[in-house]
Amino acid sequence: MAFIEVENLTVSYGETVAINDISFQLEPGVIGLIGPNGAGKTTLIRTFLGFIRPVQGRITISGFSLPKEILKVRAIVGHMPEREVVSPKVTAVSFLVYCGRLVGMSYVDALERSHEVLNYVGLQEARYRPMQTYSTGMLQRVKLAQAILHDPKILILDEPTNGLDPDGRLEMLQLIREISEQRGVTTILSTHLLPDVQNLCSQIVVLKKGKLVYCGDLQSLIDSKVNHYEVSVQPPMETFKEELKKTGIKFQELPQEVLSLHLPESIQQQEIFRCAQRAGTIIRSFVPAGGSLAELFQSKLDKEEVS
Amino acid sequence: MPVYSFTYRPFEGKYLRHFRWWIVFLEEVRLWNRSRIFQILFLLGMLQPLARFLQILSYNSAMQDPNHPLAPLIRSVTWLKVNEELYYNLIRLQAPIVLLLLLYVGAGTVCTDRKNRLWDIYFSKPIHWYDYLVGKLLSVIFCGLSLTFVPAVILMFTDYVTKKSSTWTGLFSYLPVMGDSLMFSLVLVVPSALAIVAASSIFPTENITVISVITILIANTTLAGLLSNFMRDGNYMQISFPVAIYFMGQKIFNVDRNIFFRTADVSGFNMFLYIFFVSMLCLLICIFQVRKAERG
Repeated sequence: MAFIEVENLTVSYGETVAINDISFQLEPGVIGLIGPNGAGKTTLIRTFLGFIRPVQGRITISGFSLPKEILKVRAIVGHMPEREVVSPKVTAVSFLVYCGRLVGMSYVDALERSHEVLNYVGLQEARYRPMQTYSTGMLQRVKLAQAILHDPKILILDEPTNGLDPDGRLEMLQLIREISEQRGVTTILSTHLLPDVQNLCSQIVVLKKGKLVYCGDLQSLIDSKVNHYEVSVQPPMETFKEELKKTGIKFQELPQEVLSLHLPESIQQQEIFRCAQRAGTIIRSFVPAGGSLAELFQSKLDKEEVS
Repeated sequence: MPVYSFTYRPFEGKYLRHFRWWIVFLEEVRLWNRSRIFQILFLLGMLQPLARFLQILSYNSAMQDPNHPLAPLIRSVTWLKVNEELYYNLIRLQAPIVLLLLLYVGAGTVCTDRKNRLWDIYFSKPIHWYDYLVGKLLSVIFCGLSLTFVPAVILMFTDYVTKKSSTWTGLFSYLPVMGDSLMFSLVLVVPSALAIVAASSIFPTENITVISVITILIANTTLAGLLSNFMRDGNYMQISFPVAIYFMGQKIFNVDRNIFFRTADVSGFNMFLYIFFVSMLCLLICIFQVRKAERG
């Protein structure tokens, strides 16, 4: 059984369908949840937390089915919400103690753990100040601290680097990496920032307009793009193009006499050189194309648009 | 060397799974207990019980000592008598300060959490909407009872102690009046708490909640006054919620006192139904709003 299983999930707000019949399975690790605005990322997260009841479908998280065993799921989940959260007149320590007690910790445990976790996220001295005096970055850290306070099995982070300066963003990513790698916490990272996903995640779920565009291993998705090359040959190119067609290699003409080639899985890259040899021309440049998540993401979304 | 190393270690303690509403209750009490305004209002609210305490002390000492210089004076003043009506008056006269205090502690209970988006965090913890709501409501009710029922019980105990002839079995004689005091306190505090928390769950900020509750109370009483004038029947005054609560108090303590309306032909049960209906309506609003946040 997979760690997270979603089967035929449909979620709607009245007439508006936010998630439309999606199914996927995820294994433990760092999971990137990406998609453009309105794709249904936050709705999916809120459904995982039981804030929204699905119209149909089945969700199982770590063996607990939703919404029946929602309290058990919430006990093993740490959630860092997207929007700014503040309890103005309360210090970060008091806030975390309260959160810890809500999870079921004794007062002493919650107090001890709050200090540890606030230290860990870098709020050493500031933890005794009322939260209304905190900057956006500090509030983000408090949100992360309350999410990891009870040592959750799953960490759900909704736009964790929102509103952070570049240094703060790097520190936050470092913290997330540490928590997920050292403690083996399965992390679901919902973000618009694709470099963050590329740096941290092993699996990705791509949503668009409530539909699942891609779900699976990030590395294999990137590797699949290695079948894409940009090639320029000595003119004339016509015979080379014909040879490519005969071999079954798809291509697209780019500016400056460059051809973008897409190799089917059955064809090795050496075949391109053989085509050039048969066409009596010389390959001037041969570059593996793309490979960045942004391009992959865009190509996945474009494909979805076409279909 | 810092006390805690900068690592993230697993939690090895135990999780307690019961009475999450108690945690919410304690947190609410802790929060308003530290506020200076709350402390001032609470002290103001304790002035009347303090005066009643002195009244009981002086009355009992004068009644038990025939040679006391103030004995004739105290005996002659009827409102100084220590009897059931003292507790009725205590709770009745506490009503305005109780309402103020409940408005102070109750107006922000739900709307502040919603405004500050704390629901996203609280409800991602293993609590139900009813744990949250029960904790919030009980904290407000507890605050109200601490200025009505609790002082009444302390005064009863003072009365018992200062009566020199009292035996320990005499304590049981206070049970009926204790029951009446509890009933009247609950009739005063519970609907008010429910109304304030319901308003807090609807309106966006504390200030708007307070203004709305006061406006509704004024409008409700004005409507009752207009109807009673228009229909030439004083019983319509009981549509006013504060009047209805006073009337229930009179029925509970069996006190027959016309304040500014006729009460003869209205049954206590009907009045109770009215208060119960309004309270249930407020409770339903609270449940609807908070449940929606937790379960969508």
